[in-house]
Amino acid sequence: MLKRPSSSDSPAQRTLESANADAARISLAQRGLLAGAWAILKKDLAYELQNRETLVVLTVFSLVVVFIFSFAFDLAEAEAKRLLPGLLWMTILFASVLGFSKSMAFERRGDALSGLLLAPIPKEAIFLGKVMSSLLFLLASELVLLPLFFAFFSIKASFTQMGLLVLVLLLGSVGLAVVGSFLAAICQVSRQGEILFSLGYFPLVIPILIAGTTLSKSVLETSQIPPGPWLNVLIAFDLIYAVVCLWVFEYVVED
Amino acid sequence: MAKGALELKNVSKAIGSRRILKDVSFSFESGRRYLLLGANGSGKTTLFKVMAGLWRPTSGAVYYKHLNIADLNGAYSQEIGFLSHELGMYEELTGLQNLAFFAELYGVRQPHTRALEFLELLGLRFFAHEKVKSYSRGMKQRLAIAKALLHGPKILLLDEPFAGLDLRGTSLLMELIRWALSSEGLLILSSHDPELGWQVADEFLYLERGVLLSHGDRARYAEKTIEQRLTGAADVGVC
Repeated sequence: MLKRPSSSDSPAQRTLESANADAARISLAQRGLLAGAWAILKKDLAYELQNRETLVVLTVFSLVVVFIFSFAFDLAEAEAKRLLPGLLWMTILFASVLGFSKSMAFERRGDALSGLLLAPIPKEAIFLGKVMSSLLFLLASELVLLPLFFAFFSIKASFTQMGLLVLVLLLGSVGLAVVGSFLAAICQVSRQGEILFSLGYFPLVIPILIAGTTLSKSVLETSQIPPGPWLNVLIAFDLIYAVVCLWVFEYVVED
Repeated sequence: MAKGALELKNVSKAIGSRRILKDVSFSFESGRRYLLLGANGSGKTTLFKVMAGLWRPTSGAVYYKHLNIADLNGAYSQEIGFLSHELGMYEELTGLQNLAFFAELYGVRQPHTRALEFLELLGLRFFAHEKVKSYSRGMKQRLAIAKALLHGPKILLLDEPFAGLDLRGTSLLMELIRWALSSEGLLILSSHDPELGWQVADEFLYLERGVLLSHGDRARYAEKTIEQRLTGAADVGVC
């Protein structure tokens, strides 16, 4: 608890006293899950707006991939629609890896994660905040990627197709952001973190990629979500990963 | 706050096969200022991290007001201000953004205003909008001190707070510590310069290879030849 010094009233004393008054007001008050996550999301956005590091890297990567693919494959529209989902999801997968490594590096420098872990917010708020910011950056890169793919491969899509494709991309990206943010946290607390990330990320997101690719292909070819189990698979994996990662995050980041 | 505000009960900490802390027990009383001494590798930083709740002890426990801090989570974090070797902040953000962000996490009202006040207080107002990575070592240390103080903690854990500070920074920190802790507050600091530490401390604890070998007031510190042990000039048992 901060105290009033005995003699003069300096600016330093006033600052410390007002900190003390604040401490009294919020004494033992734990910050909520959403408040903490929101603060972390705002911080990540502020960093990105200042540096534009992640978005620039993701955009350049997307441009290069689309450019190379468009030269490598000279496809008619029907063939392109069959091939595009696989290319699209593969590009998203590698773009997500780039995005997560940027995010990891940002938290690692200066051991910022320790500062977060010490804050009076639920540990899950850290995870939630990182998932939200990773998802936002991933979706932003997809916003660039998707029109580029359509333009370079001369694919025409209806509003329904675009809407359904965006839905599939959104659901798939949630899964990627959840798994990626979780493994990125492990990466920071483990000496073999980067190996663990590569070993864990690719196998864990395979169900999401298969479901995402299958659904995207169906949307482009038939303009509808197929009646099979793939949409349920995608949603189920999103939910399972979200619940499990949120549940074990605290134990993972301890020590 | 009752006596024995922060208690270590048989705290041990191992990292891999190496035991860093061995069965450390001590009761820190509120209103006192403790100087944690020990050579490099004696376990001081580990003990700080365990007391801050950043690391869990392998065995034993840390109690705050008779409650295990492992069960207190955010409520305990709100009570402590921790300065560690690592900056614990974002080097790519400005000093102001960092302090405002952490002030928000700690539930400080008007976090932006409070952050500016602390930057002013620590002599960093002019550099508020510069990225932390461009700060000198001493400026980073001042910023970390501001972060430790800005939510009005009741317990201050300062691991080598004078490291990297110039004379002006050292004297400012001394002044802040004296002002910051009321009769109920608790300060635990470490310093490789015991003379500097004794300017604010009432009592010392001496760690050697993870074992708490001695503690007491300044007279006992002299009597037990701690300084000679720290400089390697003595090789006698202390207890």
